[in-house]
Amino acid sequence: MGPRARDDRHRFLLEQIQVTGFIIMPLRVQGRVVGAFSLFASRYSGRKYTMADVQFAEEVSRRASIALDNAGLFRDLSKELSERKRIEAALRQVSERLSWRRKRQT
Amino acid sequence: MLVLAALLPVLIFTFEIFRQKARLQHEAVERGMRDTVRALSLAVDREIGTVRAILETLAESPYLDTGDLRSFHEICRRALANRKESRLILFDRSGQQLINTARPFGTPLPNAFQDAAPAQTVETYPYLPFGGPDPVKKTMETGELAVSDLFVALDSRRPTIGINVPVVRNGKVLYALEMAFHPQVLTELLLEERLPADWIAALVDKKGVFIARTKAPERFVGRAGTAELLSQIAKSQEGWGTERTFEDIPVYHAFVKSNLTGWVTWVAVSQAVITGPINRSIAAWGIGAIILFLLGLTAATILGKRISTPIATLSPNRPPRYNAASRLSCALRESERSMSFGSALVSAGEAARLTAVEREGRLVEQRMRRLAEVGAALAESIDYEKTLNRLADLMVPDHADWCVIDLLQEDSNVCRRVAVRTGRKELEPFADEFLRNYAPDLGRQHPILKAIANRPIRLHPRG
Repeated sequence: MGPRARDDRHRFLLEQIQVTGFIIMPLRVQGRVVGAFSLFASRYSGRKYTMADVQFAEEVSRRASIALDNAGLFRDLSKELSERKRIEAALRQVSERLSWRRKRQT
Repeated sequence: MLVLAALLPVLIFTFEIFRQKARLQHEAVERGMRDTVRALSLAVDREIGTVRAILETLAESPYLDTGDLRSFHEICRRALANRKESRLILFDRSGQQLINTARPFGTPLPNAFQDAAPAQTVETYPYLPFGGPDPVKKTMETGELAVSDLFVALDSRRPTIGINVPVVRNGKVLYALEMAFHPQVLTELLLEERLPADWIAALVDKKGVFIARTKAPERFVGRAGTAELLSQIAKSQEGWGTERTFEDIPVYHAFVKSNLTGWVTWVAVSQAVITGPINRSIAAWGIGAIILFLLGLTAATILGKRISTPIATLSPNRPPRYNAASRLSCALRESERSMSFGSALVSAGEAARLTAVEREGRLVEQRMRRLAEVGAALAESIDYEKTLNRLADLMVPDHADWCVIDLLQEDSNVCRRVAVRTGRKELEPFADEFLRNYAPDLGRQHPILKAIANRPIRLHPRG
């Protein structure tokens, strides 16, 4: 059973696809589901999914999840790095401002 | 050819079975006829033995000691109360009949030796001698039982059989006592054995003349047997074979010669009667075998086509990756040439097994390679969207007709469609529409959302 059509155009599109089978795998980041990875078989190809295809899709989804995990970590690290840089820059400005004031007082 | 090669041994085996069956049936018929003819011969000997017992009892009569032939005539007449067709004759050493129960005592009687004449004397029985002096003489000379061949009686002028025993007094044979009877008695004896209707039984005397015959005795009693029969009888005491009757009907016959009488008991049955049921039986078996053969041939052909058609479609013009299928085809062709059905099956089975194993191996290898590509592609970028689009590219068309990737927006309940790919160029505009306009609606029971929410794996075959 596929999704019900939201409108006439959606119905038309679904009719063109002629789905005969599908495999949907979750994509996880740090154990949390963040999305889905879906494979569809259409009538025009005559493709039929088997448990071997499910296992393959599961493996792909696992690797994609790892990649997403890494990307998330990298993004977090990048964010942390840029924050540090921003803080360092701010500290440097403060430090420079303080040293300028000291020179001025002496 | 392969199918015929497989069925050829079955055909030979079937033919051999028919041949054996026919042989066994013929042997059974032969055994049955031999047993029957022995039984008939024993019945005849038993009857002659009974006659002999009567004669030997009468031969001991004291009336013969005193020469009181009138009284002896009377006692003989009474002894034949149950044998109306028979008569008792007493001969003296000159062959003169002294008494004859067929005539009143005192009636002038013929002399067996003087009045006898060779065959063709009596017009109605041209093959038979007139009178039967030989057994009388033999009994007088040897003092033993003597059984005549068929002859025309001096008194009745009808075909007759005579059984003679000696009347011995003081170690000398004084008389010969004979019981004479019409051969119809023997025909009736054979009929009493109740042979099958299409069987013929007969008695042939020492000269080869029919004494009794269950079929048309009036035509054949008194006639000599066929030359073929007489030659076979002359060769052995007992036998089984084929001959043609007077009516030119081919028959199987069996015969046995009696040591007591010297007569031959003979049974015959038309070859058509014997071979008819055998042939019908073989024909029935043959038709059954042909039907089964044709059914087997049809089934084998259909099965053969089922095997060969996929092979034929695989082998000739396919890329080298189907080399196992080519091997299968080659193995079958080679085996067919060598006419070895068994080795063909083994080769075909082995090649089929290799094909299945190789196909499975190819799939595993392809998947591993694709997983490696996926891993490498995913590592190329730390950008979510680039990574997932690359993943979708790798899935079509080898693993899917369509690949769709959706992500939940961070910290929100909105689902965003990241990639839609199709393996068909003409459907790409639809893919774009799905990407832009139809991301899963979180308010609906969309299967993708169900998968995200509840179940990690969904496999929905749809016919």
